[in-house]
Amino acid sequence: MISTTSMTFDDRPSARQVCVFLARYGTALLGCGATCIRLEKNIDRIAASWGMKTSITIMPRHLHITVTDPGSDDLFTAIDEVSPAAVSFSLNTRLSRLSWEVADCHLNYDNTVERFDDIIANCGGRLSRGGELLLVAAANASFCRLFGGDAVAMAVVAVATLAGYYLKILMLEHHIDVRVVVMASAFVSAVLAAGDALFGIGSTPGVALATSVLYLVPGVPLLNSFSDILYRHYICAFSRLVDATVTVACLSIGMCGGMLLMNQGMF
Amino acid sequence: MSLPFVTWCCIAGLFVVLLLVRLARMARVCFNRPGRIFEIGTEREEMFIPGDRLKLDEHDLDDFDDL
Repeated sequence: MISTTSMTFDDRPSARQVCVFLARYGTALLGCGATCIRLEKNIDRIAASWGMKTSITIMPRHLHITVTDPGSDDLFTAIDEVSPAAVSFSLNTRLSRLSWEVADCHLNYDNTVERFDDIIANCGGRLSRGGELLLVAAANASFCRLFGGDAVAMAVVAVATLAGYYLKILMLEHHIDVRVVVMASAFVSAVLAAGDALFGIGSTPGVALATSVLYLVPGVPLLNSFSDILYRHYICAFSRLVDATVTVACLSIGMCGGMLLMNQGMF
Repeated sequence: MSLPFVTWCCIAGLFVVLLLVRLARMARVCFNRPGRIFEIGTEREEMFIPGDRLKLDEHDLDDFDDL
């Protein structure tokens, strides 16, 4: 159970404090894969519960926020950089929940900052690497089944996914460019999945090959870009769409390279 | 041997080697850590009779130890 302290009039933070905190909060939320509309709503919710007004400009890699205190006419602006981080629904959910706690439980500024630092330090309760690997492999094998793959194809896809995803983790740990990582992972997964056709062990080798790289498809950026288009955040939407397109192109290059070497499919 | 077969074997072989290297590294780290699974203990650790002095109390002698 977390103890909280409700805000009194004396606890009211300054516009500068609120602005600096909200810039940190916003960049963390944007970095973990939140849509622009969620960012706007959460920031407005927190600012309103502290009696402030905000104006936000969301750029693909920067957040520009101005906080106004109607009581004292103080105005403060901050620009913060979005740190590139992995998409994390857990972090996304916890940060959104924090905004509701500020609004509903009237959390004061110090408590909110403490809770925020705690959430960031724990990375939103991230899975262990082994657990993540197994879940991704199981998910991709399930995709294979959904597309009509047999048990052998599912097993081949699971192994190909394990190898490709493991390579992805290793390369990202060594700070290799993400586009090169996607290409290499797709290549390895495609080559290993082609083993189904090469050794003639299953009846659906095509499905195994096609679904072996699905774990690399940037689903979240594609969905977020569509959401941003709906809410007229065109710059962010376009940026996310281009990012996702580049990733898909790298995935295709890696997969085509694998298929070419394995004498599979369209070549 | 065909090119696809060689390619597949190379990729699969590299991964097996990579996994073995990582496992060996992990095993070495585990072996060097205190509290390993197998180790040669002291006589005191192997045979302890209630009433024996604990290692921590080695300098805390009382009258019973003189007997």
